[in-house]
Amino acid sequence: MAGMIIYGLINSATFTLMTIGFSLTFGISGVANFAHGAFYVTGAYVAWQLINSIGIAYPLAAGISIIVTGLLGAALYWLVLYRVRGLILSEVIATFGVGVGLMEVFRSIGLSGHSYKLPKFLEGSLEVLGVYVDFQRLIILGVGAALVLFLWLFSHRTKIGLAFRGIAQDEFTALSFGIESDMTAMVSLGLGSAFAALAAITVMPLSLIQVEEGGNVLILALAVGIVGGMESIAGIIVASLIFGFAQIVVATYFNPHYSMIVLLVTIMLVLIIKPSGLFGKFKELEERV
Amino acid sequence: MAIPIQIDKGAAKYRKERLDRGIKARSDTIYALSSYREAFYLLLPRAVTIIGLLILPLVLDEYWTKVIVLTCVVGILALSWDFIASAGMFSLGQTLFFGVGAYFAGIMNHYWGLPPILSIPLATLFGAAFCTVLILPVLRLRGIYFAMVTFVLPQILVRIIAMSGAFGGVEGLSALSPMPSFWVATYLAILALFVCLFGFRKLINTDYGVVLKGIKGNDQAVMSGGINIYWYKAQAIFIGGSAGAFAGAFMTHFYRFVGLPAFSMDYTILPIAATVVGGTGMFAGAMFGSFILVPLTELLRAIGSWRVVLYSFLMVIFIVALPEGIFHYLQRKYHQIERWVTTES
Amino acid sequence: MKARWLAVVVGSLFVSGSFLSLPCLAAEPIVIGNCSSLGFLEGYECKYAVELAIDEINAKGGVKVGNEMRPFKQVAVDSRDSEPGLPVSEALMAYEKMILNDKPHAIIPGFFTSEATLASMDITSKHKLPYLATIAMSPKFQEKILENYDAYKYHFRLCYNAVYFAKAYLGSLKMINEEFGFNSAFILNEEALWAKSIAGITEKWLQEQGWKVNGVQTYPKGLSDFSASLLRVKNTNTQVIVFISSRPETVVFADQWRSMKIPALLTGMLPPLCGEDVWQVHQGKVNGIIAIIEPGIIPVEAIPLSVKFFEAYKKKVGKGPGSSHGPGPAYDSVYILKEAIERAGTLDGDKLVEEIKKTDRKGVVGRIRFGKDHQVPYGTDPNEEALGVDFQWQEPGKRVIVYPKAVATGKIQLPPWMSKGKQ
Repeated sequence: MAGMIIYGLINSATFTLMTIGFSLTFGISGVANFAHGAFYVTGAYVAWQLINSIGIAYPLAAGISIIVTGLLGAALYWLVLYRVRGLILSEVIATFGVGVGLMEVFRSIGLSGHSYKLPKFLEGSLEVLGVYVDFQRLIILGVGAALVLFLWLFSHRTKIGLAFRGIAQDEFTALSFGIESDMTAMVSLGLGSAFAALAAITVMPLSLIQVEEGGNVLILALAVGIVGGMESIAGIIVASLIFGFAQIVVATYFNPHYSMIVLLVTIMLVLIIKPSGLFGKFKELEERV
Repeated sequence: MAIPIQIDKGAAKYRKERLDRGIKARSDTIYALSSYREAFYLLLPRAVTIIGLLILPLVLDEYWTKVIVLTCVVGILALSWDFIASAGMFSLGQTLFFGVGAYFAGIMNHYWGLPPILSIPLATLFGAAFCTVLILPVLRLRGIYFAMVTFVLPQILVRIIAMSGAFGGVEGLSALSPMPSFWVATYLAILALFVCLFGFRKLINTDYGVVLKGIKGNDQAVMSGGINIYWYKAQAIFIGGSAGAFAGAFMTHFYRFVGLPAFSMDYTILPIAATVVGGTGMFAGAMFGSFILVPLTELLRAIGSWRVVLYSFLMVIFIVALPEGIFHYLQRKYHQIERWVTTES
Repeated sequence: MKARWLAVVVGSLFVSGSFLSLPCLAAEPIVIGNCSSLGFLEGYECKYAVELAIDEINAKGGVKVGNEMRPFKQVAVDSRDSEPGLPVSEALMAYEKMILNDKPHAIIPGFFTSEATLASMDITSKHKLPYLATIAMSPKFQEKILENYDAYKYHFRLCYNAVYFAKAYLGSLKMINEEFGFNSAFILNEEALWAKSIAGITEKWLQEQGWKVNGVQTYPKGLSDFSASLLRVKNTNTQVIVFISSRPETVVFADQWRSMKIPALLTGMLPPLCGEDVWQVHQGKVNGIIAIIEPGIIPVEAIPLSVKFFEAYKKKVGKGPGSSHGPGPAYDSVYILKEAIERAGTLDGDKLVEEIKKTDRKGVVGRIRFGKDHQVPYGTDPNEEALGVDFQWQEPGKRVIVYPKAVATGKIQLPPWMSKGKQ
């Protein structure tokens, strides 16, 4: 029982880490970054290259990788999305195309096989309530919690954070206050991608770096966002908890195989009952101003 | 019709003037033809396409005819995407329609023994209905949610099939009934492509289509006209989805196999890339785009998976730099004359 | 006019394409076609193995066909058939294109996945190409060959299939039972054709032998947390874990097994953990894991050719092969093809098939002979059959062969946190 709770929490933290970048970007700038999964893989790959090809120490490589991925995200906005801002179709296709293209690039240069492994932060394990948990997973839990706390403080206490929330609430009013929407969107994309890289560096050491993981992360981000409500941190956390625990419970009592059906059922239920997500603030079509 | 672009070339100034050719100048939609030459001028593009496509299978070898069939299938998917987009919904999951149609056909054939003549039409209808029902809850939301859900749904369906082992599970269903003959299959694909192309074009130009276009433009205005936009949207998905499901059902019998790869990303990316490159909103653009992309993909098979990189980046470049697509551009060139003209100082 | 120009462009695209498929002039070399997932481990390692064999044969003058000596040449096309989203039709298109363009005389090592292999049998038979498979493992291959022998007689398999693999593996479990008295097991497999059939065979056999099977689970792709299954193993006091997967989740599982200190032996088919360099990459965390692989990937003293192959491969590629099966038989296939061609004196598909059937050779994996179903039988004596060996990772980073007895170089060690003779 204790094992289930601990691993359920860790699972949820993993999901939160992976998906919060996407929600952040979408909540602030309204841009659904379909390249989120690709940036996840990019973060891991850049770190790996830095460590193995250039020989930089791990913490430094991790930091550089996060910054580089963040810059990539901002570049995505500046070069591509800037020109098609506001046209949903074009935005979606542009980010989608970049995401797919980027992942295929990784696949083509041969990112497969077991030499592609990221080192863990800390080896070994700890006994918690009669169950052994390895440090890396505990770190995931820690990083996840810290990230959430950081975001909350950021958006409620700092000037930039408040500006973000302003834009999210009402773009025109924010503009009239001098909060530039393009700059904000660019920063939000950069941040979202940086968080994706952070998630990759924290979670991927558990297994090997794989390109398909990018696709999975994107689907997860969408699923969690749909269920929890895209723009609200609380929604993401709750949705992650639901999915995380559901997976563990199903795996413990039934077969790990069934965990996917939980995802689908939850999504469909939420869509029918409260389409904008549990904590979603976006109003339905009719109420849109 | 004259678009002034000022350029300083020394003392005199020039501007670019764009004039419609004689026919179009009279009216945009109704053509009053005054000579066979004009009729020929109008018919030529369509005639070349139709006749050309009908002849090609007779001329090419089996391998390339298969490529043509694949092109038609992608074209049908692209048309289905374009149709749904004309109603203002941008789907990232054509593969949902494709895969569901494919599986329905496979199931009907494998478990109930229905021959392709029955299974394909039935799969088209039921597949489209199934997808429409799945997507119904999202119709109330903003466009982006539609894109997200259509993206996520096929992935989840894949995992459910894999996990439950139903419908062949991971192995898929094989040794299904083949098409009556290779020629029947090929011409069926071509015919279906034409039906979709001209059918959708016609449909979007009728009053019904006007409502759909209106929903795309400003749904609240349409709502205030007392029209139930959700019902129309659902119908649009059903119609577009039928095309997609047909493509899937067709491929199932063409390859005598259906499995998880029926939900592959390729069936989402290719149609969108084709439509973006060809030109959205004009159906002919979607078909045109697939006729460029799919043979190109085949020719470039040598470079392996870099092809996907190529056409995703092509897609991005086109949507950003040339959003109207090649077809619009060509059409403009065909119907209009551009020339430099001196301006009055 | 613009439309005409347009029509010409589109038309010429098609016509030029059809020219690409015109037959090229018959070339001197004998072409071996390789259409598999070259981006994946088994795929590119088999390619190297074939290259190695070709280089050796060509250095000695080539293959005697009738009266002339001709060199071998490998043409490799990436079918990507092991990629999750790829439609089988895509892989088949690549295959057909290779056959039409490059005109191979034989196919080695065949497709990566069983799905693609089964779907491609009609194409292979149509072109009468000897097809020597060394990667795909589903026993359905044999069933189809027997069902329609005249049509499918061109197909042969040299690596072990799921049935023989299971037999070899079960032998090692029997040994574990004899040595330690263990008799409870937990089976976990990935969701793939071959893995499921191995799991099924294993479960049945274990139950017949009187073992307690405490669970048979299939895990979905991409699962990153096996704590639920591992806790179940611990709570039911299971002693042996059978893990069957070629996917990277193997690493996650092994890792968690270790950090959660689950008191059970971890065994199974674990390709990601078989290569020589794995100990280094994972910094020793694979200690204690038992896996089954082919000779050639690990040098087996009792089979000299496997040692020779291992050294040659390492010299060519820079490090030893890392898959769990594939490269050894691929290397053997080239020699078998050479010998069959020289005996038949021709490259005709039907005649070659007759000669290949008569193969009796001491290869990298043991003795190679084909059964009626065109499968090489695997067993425990390298002088009679081919061999699958179990090894265990032991300090200080060696792969110690523990089964079968005929070729073993050491004994199984239990993980340090597990006491001997539990239950």
